[in-house]
Amino acid sequence: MTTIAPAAPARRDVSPARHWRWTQPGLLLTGGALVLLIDPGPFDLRVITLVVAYAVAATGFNVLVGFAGIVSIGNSVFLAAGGYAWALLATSYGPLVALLAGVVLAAVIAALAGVLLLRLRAYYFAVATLALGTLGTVVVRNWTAVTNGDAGITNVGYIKVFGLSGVPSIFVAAVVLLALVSFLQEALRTSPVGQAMIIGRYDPPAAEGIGVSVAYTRVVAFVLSAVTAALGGALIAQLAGGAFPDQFATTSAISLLVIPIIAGRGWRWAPLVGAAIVIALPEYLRFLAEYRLVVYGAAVVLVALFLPGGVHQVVRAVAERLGRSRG
Amino acid sequence: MNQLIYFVIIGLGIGAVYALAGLGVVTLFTGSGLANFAQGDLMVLGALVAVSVTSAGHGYVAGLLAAVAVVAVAGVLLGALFTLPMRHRRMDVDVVIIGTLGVATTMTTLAGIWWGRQPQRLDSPLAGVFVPVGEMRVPAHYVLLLVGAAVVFGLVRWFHRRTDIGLQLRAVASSVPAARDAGVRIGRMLVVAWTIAALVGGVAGVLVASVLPIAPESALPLGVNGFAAAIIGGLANPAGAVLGGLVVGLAETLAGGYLNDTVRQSVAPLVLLVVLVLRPGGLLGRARGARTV
Amino acid sequence: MAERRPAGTLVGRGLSVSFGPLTAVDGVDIEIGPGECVGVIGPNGAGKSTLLNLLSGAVPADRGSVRLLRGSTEVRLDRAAARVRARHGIARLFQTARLVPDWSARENVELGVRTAGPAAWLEALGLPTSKRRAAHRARAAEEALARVGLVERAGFRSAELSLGQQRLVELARILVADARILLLDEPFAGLSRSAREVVAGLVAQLRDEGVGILLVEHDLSQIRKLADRLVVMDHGRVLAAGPVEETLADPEVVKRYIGDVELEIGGALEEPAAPAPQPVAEQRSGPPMLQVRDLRVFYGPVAAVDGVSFDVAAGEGLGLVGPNGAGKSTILRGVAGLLRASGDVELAEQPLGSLATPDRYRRGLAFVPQTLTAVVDLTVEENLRLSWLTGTRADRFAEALDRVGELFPEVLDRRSEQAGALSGGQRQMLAIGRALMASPRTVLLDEPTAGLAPGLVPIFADALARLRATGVAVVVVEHNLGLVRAACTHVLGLQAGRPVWHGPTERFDAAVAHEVFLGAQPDTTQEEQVHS
Repeated sequence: MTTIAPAAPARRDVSPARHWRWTQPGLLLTGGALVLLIDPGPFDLRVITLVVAYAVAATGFNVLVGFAGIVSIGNSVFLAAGGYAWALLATSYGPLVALLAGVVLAAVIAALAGVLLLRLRAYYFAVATLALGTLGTVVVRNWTAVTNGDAGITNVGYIKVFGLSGVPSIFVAAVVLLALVSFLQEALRTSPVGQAMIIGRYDPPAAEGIGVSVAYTRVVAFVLSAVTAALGGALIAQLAGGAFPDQFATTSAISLLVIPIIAGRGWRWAPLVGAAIVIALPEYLRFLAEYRLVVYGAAVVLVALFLPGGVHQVVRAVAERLGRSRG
Repeated sequence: MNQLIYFVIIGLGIGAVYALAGLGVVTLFTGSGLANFAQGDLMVLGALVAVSVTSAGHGYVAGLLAAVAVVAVAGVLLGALFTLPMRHRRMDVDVVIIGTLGVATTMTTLAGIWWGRQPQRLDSPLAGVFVPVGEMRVPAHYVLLLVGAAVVFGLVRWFHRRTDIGLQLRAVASSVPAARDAGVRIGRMLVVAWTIAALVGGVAGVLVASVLPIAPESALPLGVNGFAAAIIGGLANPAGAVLGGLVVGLAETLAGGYLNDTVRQSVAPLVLLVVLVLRPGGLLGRARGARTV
Repeated sequence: MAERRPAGTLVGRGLSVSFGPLTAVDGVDIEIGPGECVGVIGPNGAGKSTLLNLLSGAVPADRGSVRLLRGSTEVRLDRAAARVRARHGIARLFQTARLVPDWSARENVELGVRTAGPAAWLEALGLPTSKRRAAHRARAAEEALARVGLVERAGFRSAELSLGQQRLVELARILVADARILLLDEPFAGLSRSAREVVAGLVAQLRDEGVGILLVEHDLSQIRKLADRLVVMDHGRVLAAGPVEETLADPEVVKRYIGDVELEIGGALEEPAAPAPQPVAEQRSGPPMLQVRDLRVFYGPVAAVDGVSFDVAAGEGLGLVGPNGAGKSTILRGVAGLLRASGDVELAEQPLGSLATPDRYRRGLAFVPQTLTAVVDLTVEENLRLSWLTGTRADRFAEALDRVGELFPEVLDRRSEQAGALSGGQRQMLAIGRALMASPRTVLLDEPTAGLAPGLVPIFADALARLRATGVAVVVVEHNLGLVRAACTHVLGLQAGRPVWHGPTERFDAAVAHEVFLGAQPDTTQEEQVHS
């Protein structure tokens, strides 16, 4: 056996450890339990639940942007699908049907749009999704027969679990859903499908050369982002007590995009960390009054230009520095 | 019949604004291969600056000039922001998309803080003047829109074709490697491209503010319409953007007049989607690298 | 490992493809059977990489067929996309290593293991069976990495591996995918000597195990070691084919591969050179115009040119010659500032340091890139003005334009036409004209006569001579050795990024040319030197 280099240094392995698919959900569930134990006030719990809801929605988006490398500005349409499906069906047909309906609706839209649009280059696809999101808003605002227009749909009920009621119940449901989608995210990461997405992002010709259908993996990623967005949208509707067009406008699509970008594309903790930054931070920076959105916008620009790896990049740098000073 | 003519004139007028919005998109795209999700905000910026200056009593022209100045500065800043850090890195499309989205958010919010979120109108210099069409009267400002758009288009075209800087811009638009081999300073040209795009957007904003009330939130729909106009022409074709703008403006106005508001609002995004799905190169342009797989 | 695929023969017949007006590949027949290595060589632009693309499916052919023959079955692959061909066992290595940088070597190799559709989905959902499958994949990857000697680095980030190691990881991926046909595109480019040995060893092993290999290479020593047959391409067609040594000794191949040159007319220059204002052989050594010391030019992290030094005085002409991939154009681009370089470059005794290209042009350096890089959407006059704008502006635009008109009236006649509409020869003239517009002190020309009809060459020799007569220093990369001998005072021969010969033109004769072009590369072992 010939070796090229002199004695190799101590064996390391940068492949993602398989345990994360169990560890992360476990940590999330434990964290959720802790939060309930601490019993924060109603305002704080509401904020935290909203964060978790967006984290659920952003998990699929993290896959889209982080694994497959696709930028979409239109996922508000899928949030709306989930939210309105819940609003219309939950009280009559129960939570499971409502959630499923939202998921299926979002998946169908995503599959159709994906097949038609994903052959476009990055920039054109982004514009197309913007158009899609805009159309979604127009439909939601104007199809009053179904969506009740700007007035929205109220009295939508929420998931009751473990005998809890009110926001705590929604919180628990949200945490459970987040644990579930996080498991799926990790399983995907180390599976052939996920790996195909990743190499399809880095190097489409090389991917095709290995037998990967890049177009197919992109559509799959897009559909996954739609599915989790629908779940998140349903949670958002429950939390707000109703489905309203404003919740699902382009700004929410931009929030979904910003979450993995600021936190670190593809990082397993990006959905939660990002959602905390995007959703919770503005709530707690109220002293900045209206300027908090300015800070938010500026942060997005700076991260995009100067810190492309987001929070994850910072965390990794710190961990490396600590590792070096120790060893 | 007269109603049709009325709608057509209005539609063309609005279309002229979209044409300018689209021209801004195309100018940047041909100069740099990028496009700016904050283009709508530049239009809003121009409009609101003009409103402030004119309501302070300085007159329409002063408002226009002030808007132009402010927007030019914004353009230079944006150009520098998106060019300088990129000098030693490969320009990543994602970065520009996300970065300009961030800029858009910031600008929309700042505009809301500085000018409030209420829609504002700019009094036209031709207020009170009407063009008779049968029994109907079209505000003369719509004609001004068309004339203004034509003037801007002509100026940009003159600049591109007759000045040395325009020559270099066209070289960069044709092929960055060829331009680089010829010794063109690519970074500076990119900043110029951004500035021109901003100027075009700013003027468009001032013009449209007399027929549409403008609020910070108008940035997004204006941006979408600008993209729709530009896409019809294939993103690389200024004349195509003008045509596209007129088409979208006409379609919207006719839809709004004869059908209903929902259809009117759907025109621009639908046009975008349909064109992208069927002919990504635009109805007029070549399929210039729009597709990948 | 999965059960082995049966061996097969990849057959391409009548393959042709054109990109716009350019015919890249024209009616090529090629066959790669099991256990044989077919080498493909040819000058730049001969269509070798395009042929590879046609076989791998990256580019669809306009005409011709691609078939995979296995025993009695035949699979037609003309319309099949690259990924379909990959699933049939056709694997391809690109010129640059294409790994996912943040992944470990093992993960990159695992990608090569085929997993059927439903099974892949079960694993994506994280069902219990996935653990076994993943372990199986990891094992297969580690075995492959062991074969290439990298198993200790299986967990390392691919970005941290050297270029040679990355290339080996790609090969491990191919091993794991059980490819039966391997298409290699210059696999040795940029590798160190030891890395080349390992890669060569692996390729030989694969060949012996029955894999059919197509090897596109410039490094003739590797071709000699590994190839059973050789195919020489030129201008998109097969020029010659057959056993390796025979084909390399074919005079037609020698002539075309080295360039249009009448080497056999020992010493006699290309007579048709138009009467130059001064006899070309006269040495006019004026003040040094361009001084280059220890130049190393980098493509990314790899030094494509390593340690080149030369001087060119005012009025002198330096010809850069050598086989493809030797780094000649790279030197010009490094001097022009278009590629990252280290070392010292002085223009008219002023160091250029790390000045950007536009500033170098302002100081009097002009660079004429290879064909087709005039800005095609601008008119001829606009192109000329652009070069005037970015040059020294020592003369007014009108004067500079007149000068160019004197030299190339044909070009000025078409000043309002788009540059893209000119013929090849006219484009070349425009290219030199653009350089002149800048009133430069030193002109770098990259293959100015490439693709030109031979009858036009004397005009260029004349133009270069006249240019030199005005005191400009000229550096020319050329394959046409006749032009080099007519227009240059000195010659620098290069191989694999290193200088191998430097001296006055008179001493550059047929024997030296042979050595520079077809001789052994400097990086090989002693025994290879015998062949030449």
